Order: sequence, then C-alpha cells, then structure tokens
Amino acid sequence: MNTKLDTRTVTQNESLDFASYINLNELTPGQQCTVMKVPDIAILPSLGLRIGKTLNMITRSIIGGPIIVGIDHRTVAIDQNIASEILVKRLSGC
Amino acid sequence: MLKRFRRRCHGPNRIPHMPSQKTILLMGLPNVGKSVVFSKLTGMDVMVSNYAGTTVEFAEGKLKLGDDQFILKDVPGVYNIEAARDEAEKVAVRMLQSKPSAVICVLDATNLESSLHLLTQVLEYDLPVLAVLNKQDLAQKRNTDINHDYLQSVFQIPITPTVATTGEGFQALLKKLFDVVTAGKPRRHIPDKQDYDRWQNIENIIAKAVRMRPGADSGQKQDILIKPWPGIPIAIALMAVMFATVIGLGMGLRQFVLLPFFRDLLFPQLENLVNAFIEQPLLRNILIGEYGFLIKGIEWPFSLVLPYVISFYMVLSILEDSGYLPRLGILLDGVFAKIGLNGSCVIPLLLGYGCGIPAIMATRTLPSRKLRIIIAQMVCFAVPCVSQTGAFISLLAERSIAAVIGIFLVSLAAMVLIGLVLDKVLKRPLPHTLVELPQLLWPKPRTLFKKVLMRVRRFIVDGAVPMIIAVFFASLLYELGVLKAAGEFLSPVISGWLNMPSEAAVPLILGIVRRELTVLPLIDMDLTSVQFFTGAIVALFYVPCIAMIASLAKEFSIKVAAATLFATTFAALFLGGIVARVGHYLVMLFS
Ligand SMILES: Nc1nc2c(ncn2[C@@H]2O[C@H](COP(=O)(O)OP(=O)(O)OP(=O)(O)O)[C@@H](O)[C@H]2O)c(=O)[nH]1
Ligand SMILES: [Mg+2]
Repeated sequence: MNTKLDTRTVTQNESLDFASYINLNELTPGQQCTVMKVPDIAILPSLGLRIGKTLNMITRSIIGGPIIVGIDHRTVAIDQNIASEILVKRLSGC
Repeated sequence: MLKRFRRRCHGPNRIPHMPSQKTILLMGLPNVGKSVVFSKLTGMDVMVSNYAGTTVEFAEGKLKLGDDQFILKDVPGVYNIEAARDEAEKVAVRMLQSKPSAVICVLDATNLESSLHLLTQVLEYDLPVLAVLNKQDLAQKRNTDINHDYLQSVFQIPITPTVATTGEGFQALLKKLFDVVTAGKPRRHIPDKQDYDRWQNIENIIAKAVRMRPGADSGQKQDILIKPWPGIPIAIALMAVMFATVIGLGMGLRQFVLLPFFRDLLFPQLENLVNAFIEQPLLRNILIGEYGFLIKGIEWPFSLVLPYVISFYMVLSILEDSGYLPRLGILLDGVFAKIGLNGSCVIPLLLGYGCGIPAIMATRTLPSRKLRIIIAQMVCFAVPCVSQTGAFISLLAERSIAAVIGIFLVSLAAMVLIGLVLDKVLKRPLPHTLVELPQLLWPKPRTLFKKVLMRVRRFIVDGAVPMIIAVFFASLLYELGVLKAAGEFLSPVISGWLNMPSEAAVPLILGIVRRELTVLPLIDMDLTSVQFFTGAIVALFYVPCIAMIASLAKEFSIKVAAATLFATTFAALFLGGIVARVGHYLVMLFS
C-alpha cells in the first residue's frame, strides 16, 4: 500500500528513524499521540486521520474489533489492520 | 456549463414534452442533516436518523423559489467525492455529475474541516453553490463560534447558518438560495492541485474562522458505551429491555386497546350489518365467513400486526435517533467478523426486523458486494419482519412464551449458519471497519412521534392494503373451493412430509404474497403443539414476500432473486419436515 510521508514536521534524520514511532495498535487507552504516517485510503483524511493531527486513544474492542480514537470532537472506529499501518508518536507526558 | 444547460431548457431547442426540470441538489457529508433540510424545504417526510448512511437513494420534492418551480433532491451523504466508497455514495456522485442547476452544500458546524474539504470538491463542478452551516446549536454548546462572513469571503459563495431541526435560519437560507439560482454563472474556483495542500489550506482557513470561547471543551468525553466494559453489559441489558418493550407494549396495545375495539365494538356491528342486508350465503361467507374478508381483512393487519408495528418502530426510532446503533455495531464488530460480517451490518439487520425492503436497501451502505449479499440472504431467510413477528406472537404466545423465544433462537442460529456458509462460498476478504460514531443526542419526543407515524402510514399503504387484498382473494377462493383443491394437490408435502392437515396449504399459498400470511391462517386451525411449531418454522424460512423478491431483483439481479425464491421454499419445507419428525419423536418420548 502506498503511504505518504510527512514532509512538513519530520526532518530528514527523523524520517529514517521510524523505529521511534509506534503503530496505533500499540497505544494504550488514554494516551495521546501525533499522527506521523497514514496508509493511502481515500476516506482517512476525511475522518481526521492526517499527518500532524493529534489523536486520543479511547479504547480497543474485544475479539479483534476496531480501535476507537478521538480526533478533535469526533470519535472514529478503525480496524486493527488499518491501525497497524498508522504510525504515531506518543505525546510527552503520556 | 450552466449557460448550456439554460439554453437547453429555455432556448429554441427546448424539448416541448419535457417540463423544465430544474433541479437543486443537496450535498454534504453523511449525517450532517441534509434530510432534515430536505423535509423542511419540501414538506415531505423522509427518513432522518442519527448515523451515517440513513439516506441510501435519492428523494425528490418540489420547491418554489419566486415564480420558479424547482425539484429538490436529497441524496446519500459522501465523505470524498473522488472516492465514493459504496453504492449509496455513488448515487450522490452520479447526481452531482448530472448537472443540477444549483447545489446546496450542507456543512456540519461541529465538523467544519471535512465539511469544507467536501465543499471544495463540490466547487470544482463549477455550479452555483449555496453552503448551509448546519448544527449551529451543537457548535454553540461547545462554545465554538464560526465566522461565516470570513468563510464567505474565502470561498466566494454565500454561506448561511442554520439549525435544521428547529428551522432556525431557513428564511435567510431561502432568500440566499433564490439569489444563487438567479445569479447565473459562478465565479471560477481554483482548486489546490494536491489533496495534501487542500487540507493544509483548510486548516489555515479554520484557524482564522473558528474561535473557541473560554470554557470550550476541547477534549473528548469518554464514551462508556463503546468500551467493552461497561459497554457490553450495557448493550446486553439495553437489548433485553428493548426486546421486552416491543413484545410487552405490543401485547398490551393489542389486549387492552385494539382487541376490545374490534372484537366487541366493530365486528358485531359489521356482522349484523351483513346479516341484515346480504341474503346470498356465498357472498355472506366471503364477507364474514371462515376467511371472511371484512373480519380477517381487518383483524389481521390492524389488531394482530399493527400493535407490534407501533411498539417496534418506537423502540427502533429511539435507537436510531440517539446515535447508539453505530456504537452497538462497534461492540459487535469482532464477533460479527467470525461470521463474515462487520459491525456496520447491525443497522440493515435491525431494519430487517421491521421490514425486509428497507433492510435490503440499507445494504447499499455496506462496503462490499459480498457483505450486501450475506445480509440480504440473512434477512430473506431468517429475519422475521415485524408483521411476521406479530403473527408469531399471536400464534404461539398464548400457548407458550418459550415457543416464541424458540423461534427467535432458531432464527439466530440460521443467521449464523448463513453467514458461515456464504463467507466460505463467496471467498472475498472482509472489508475493513472504518466508521465515524455520531454524537449521542437525546431523541426528541416530537420527532419520534412523527417518525413512528410515518412508518405506521407506510405499513398501512404497503402492508395492510396488500394484506387486505390477499385476504379478499383467499376468502373468494376458499368459498369457491379452490383452496381446498389446492390443499389436496399439495397434500403429499403438507400431510405426508410436514404432518399438517391439508388446510395448511392455505398459509403456504398466501405466504407468497406477504410474510405474516404464512402464519396468520394457522391461528384458527385446530393443531397440536408440534404442528404449531412446525408451521412457525416453515413460515420463518419460507419465501419472503413478493415485494422483497422484487427488491432483490432490483438491487442485485434476477438470478439472485430466483435463487432466493427457490432456496427459501426448499429450506422451509425441508426444515419443517425435520421439526415435525423430531417433535413427534420428542412427544412420544415424554408422554
Ligand atoms: N442538534 C441538531 N441536530 C441536527 C441538526 N440537523 C440535523 N440534526 C440531527 O442530525 C442527525 C442526522 O440528520 P439527517 O438529516 O438524517 O442527516 P443526513 O445528512 O440526511 O444523513 P445521511 O442521509 O446519513 O447522509 C439527525 O439525528 C438529526 O436530528 C441541527 O441543526 N441541530
Ligand atoms: Mg439523509
């Protein structure tokens, strides 16, 4: 799947260092993060999943159900497969 | 573009037979309130619910602006015009491409970002556009002020704030709409080439247009309904309460309101009237005999089924308007994945317990054809519509409530089986779940009342009237002896295989027309418990009504419709025979 890199906030050095990012599945409920990379799925930006956005992990569901995140005032449920392709950076203090 | 359109309509080339069909199209994200705006502007009733994907096909209504008559079109919501995800979204994009005279783009004041992104996509079509900034009340509650004058100057189109549910701002809306449709060619909008730049631009615009007043809550309210704990126990409790309410309220309405009215007041009068004026015995029997159409034709739809139509839609409407349904879908998503479904299937399935046709239509919002087919088949085979549920309750509840619950358990098991089988047969991967959960809102009693009324009206037109006509023909054929002959012809199946009396052919014949008619004729028959349950099982799986078969043909193909017709008939008779045998064996064992 094509993925877009953030050219705005990620510096050259950092962009090589994806190891410091985690995917959305790895967040624990209550944590906040900044989106660093999203898969190329047309509806994602319209749901608020864009590079640079701040996410708030609300909960995960049972039996492999979706991850639920808050973005601005919205609540969005994201399949774990898609979530694993969304890379984020934990906000400090979380 | 607009000029060309105008010339075609009013110029010398105008086709004389075609009235000037100037259309205004409502576009917007899902769940922004387009259908409320449509109802308010045209006075027509359309479905409004608090989740994305309520509207699945377009609706048209008349709108007068000045001296001109326009056709206003309500369409499904879309997230991204350049990437329509499902059949419903494609309807909206097709409508936009069909060159309407103007577009009303409904923006969500609580989700300005994505709304403006969609607006920029609409502006690319170079049509006159009016933007409506809806859900102002909810934005105000969040202490968010939106400077729409600034937005107007950026986008160079009129933008007007509204609260669609109360009608606030509609006078200004109409005035500006009139200006837009009379103004002519819009200013050329120069879009950003890259989607990325477009979003950047929008974020910059919003930074200038939106002001959070102090006290604005910027965070998220933790949503206890979607966390597995306590969300799942709450969901189970809620469903139990809802189920009990539907059954209890329905039975109560029937027992204490409708039954006394019909049995004690209306029917004796009707019988007296017929006895007094009609001598001819055949005619008299057709009117008030065994299938007497004045009696059954009124009792069945209005006293046996209507109470459950009312109670079911009251409960469903509360679920729809609160915004709970997508949350229920999310809680069930993981479990549903095991039978080839995803959480968004909850909505069409629940609609199916009301009526199969809106359920089949609602599958348009599902992200793959495979999901659409699985849900449509579940609804056709195993989900009893509210009319049939009412009939089941009338048939079984007086004998044993357990039998009613038994039928629903069989139905649930069949749905799981259908899911498992079709998931294997159709072999496509399951589409990923990706849904926005609407803001929870308190349902308003007035809106609920209107919605239930609208559905009751629809039941009377599309349900009761066909039922009455079917009962009329049944009474005619019964009195003429045709039903009896048909019963004898079918007796190898009915008596031989299902262990039912030959008169049980009547529900099988009538049942092709309407689902509850596979059940209702059984009520007055003298049957054993096993026979009642056999009849109920046959009825559950038997042919959904003809209207549903037609709807399958329209939404999928004739082949799917024909296959379903054949498979449901076969499954009903096959399983009915098995139940008859197992039941017989059990009775022997325990007596
Ligand atoms: N508070 C408030 N609620 C609104 C307003 N406008 C619409 N709603 C509610 O928003 C929900 C969605 O309204 P609909 O008209 O069904 O939305 P739609 O745009 O037609 O949605 P789709 O057909 O799914 O695309 C309903 O619950 C409405 O009652 C408003 O101005 N204020
Ligand atoms: Mg709608």
